[in-house]
Amino acid sequence: MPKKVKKEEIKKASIIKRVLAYIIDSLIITLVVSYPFNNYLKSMNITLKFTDLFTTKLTSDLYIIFFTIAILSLIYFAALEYYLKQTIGKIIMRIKIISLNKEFKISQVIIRNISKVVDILLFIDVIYMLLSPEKERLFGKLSKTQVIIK
Amino acid sequence: MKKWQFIILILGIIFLVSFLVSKTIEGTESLKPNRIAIIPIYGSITVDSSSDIFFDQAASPSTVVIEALARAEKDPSVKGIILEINSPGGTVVASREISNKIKKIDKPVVSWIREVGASGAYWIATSTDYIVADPMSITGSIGVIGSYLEFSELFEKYGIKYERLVGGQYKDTGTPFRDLSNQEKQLLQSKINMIHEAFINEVATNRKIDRDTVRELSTGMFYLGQEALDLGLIDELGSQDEALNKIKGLAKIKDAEVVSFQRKVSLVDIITRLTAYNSFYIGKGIGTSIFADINSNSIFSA
Repeated sequence: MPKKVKKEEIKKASIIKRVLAYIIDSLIITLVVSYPFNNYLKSMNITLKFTDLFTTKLTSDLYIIFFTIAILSLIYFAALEYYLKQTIGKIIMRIKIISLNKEFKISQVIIRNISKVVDILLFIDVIYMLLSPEKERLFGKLSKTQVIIK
Repeated sequence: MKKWQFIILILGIIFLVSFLVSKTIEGTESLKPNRIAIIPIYGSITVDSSSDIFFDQAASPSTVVIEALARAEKDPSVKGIILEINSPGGTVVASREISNKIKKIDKPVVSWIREVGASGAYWIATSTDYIVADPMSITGSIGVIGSYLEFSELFEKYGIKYERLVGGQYKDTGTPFRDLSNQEKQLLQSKINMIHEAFINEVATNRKIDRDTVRELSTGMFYLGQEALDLGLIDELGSQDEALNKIKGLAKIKDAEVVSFQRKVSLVDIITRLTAYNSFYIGKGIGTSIFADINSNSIFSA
């Protein structure tokens, strides 16, 4: 009797691994993206807080800084995940992303990472992940992607 | 392209874009907002910053105030400076240091006297372009005080004798262990008079008031805001709004963001200072630290 072909099991990455990978990526982004603005913000005697976005305190230059940091952070996550299926944090933690669809589209990596650059979405994402039984992020689910152990 | 080559390429592009945007913003004057720096001068004006461990509220060390003034001067977005004064004065040198720094700043500076802006604090206020004070505030007090505690009779009562060994007859002038001689009193009074005269000159020059008029006012008497206005010691009665309106007028700007240039004491600062204090007191002993003050006037002081 012919042997049954075993279906390849997808081993989901644990929350701890995913969080650590995110922390590593955040440190890299701080160094590469935010650091060049440090001198300017220091000279302005300003500490940027996300809540400042909702006040009238921010002026055009600070909006540009916020926008630049957000876009470049998104490019970091999207470009690396689209081409390599991994960011530096994920490489270190030995995890990667896969598409649950047949194809792997750029729109999927943009959707799954949009919450990482908009704090309020990240907050919703984390709450959803903690409450959901499968411990998946909301934007991970929407993008039809999965983080697995490499 | 290999994996790490691709990662380095992406990081390089991101850093380059970020760097270019930051340099563009730094160089674009029109993007910067107009700001008014508020620098507080609270409590007694001293030269050192060791008077308050936690909040730096009890004293305004001249080094801290001068550093804040320098930051505000350097910042191109700061179009004017308001000194928020609530101080009864302090040491002559510290007041003079701050006053001299203000005179060198080529941005408009306005004083806003809240509850008290007397003596050394008033000296500082006179060096600004305009003085706004509350009608009920206390200001003026143009005078100099030089006092010390004298323990000689107390020491006598407990059988403690002061052995005087000096090289130079005035070396122990002001020691708390003996009474001042008439000659010493005259000497100290003459020094106080010199400082008083310098204070009078400073107020007369800064406020453009006749020297004799200032001399008449400089009895050490304090004046309420309204009286000070009548005597020409201040320019306007009011609060922060009036000070802001004046500084905007002097800076020729319509709108401005008000930013406090108060130095924030970080947790690391507090821990560092507490550690330093603890080491000092453990090392020397509390008793030694008390006697250190007395020793500073003793035969061993330089």
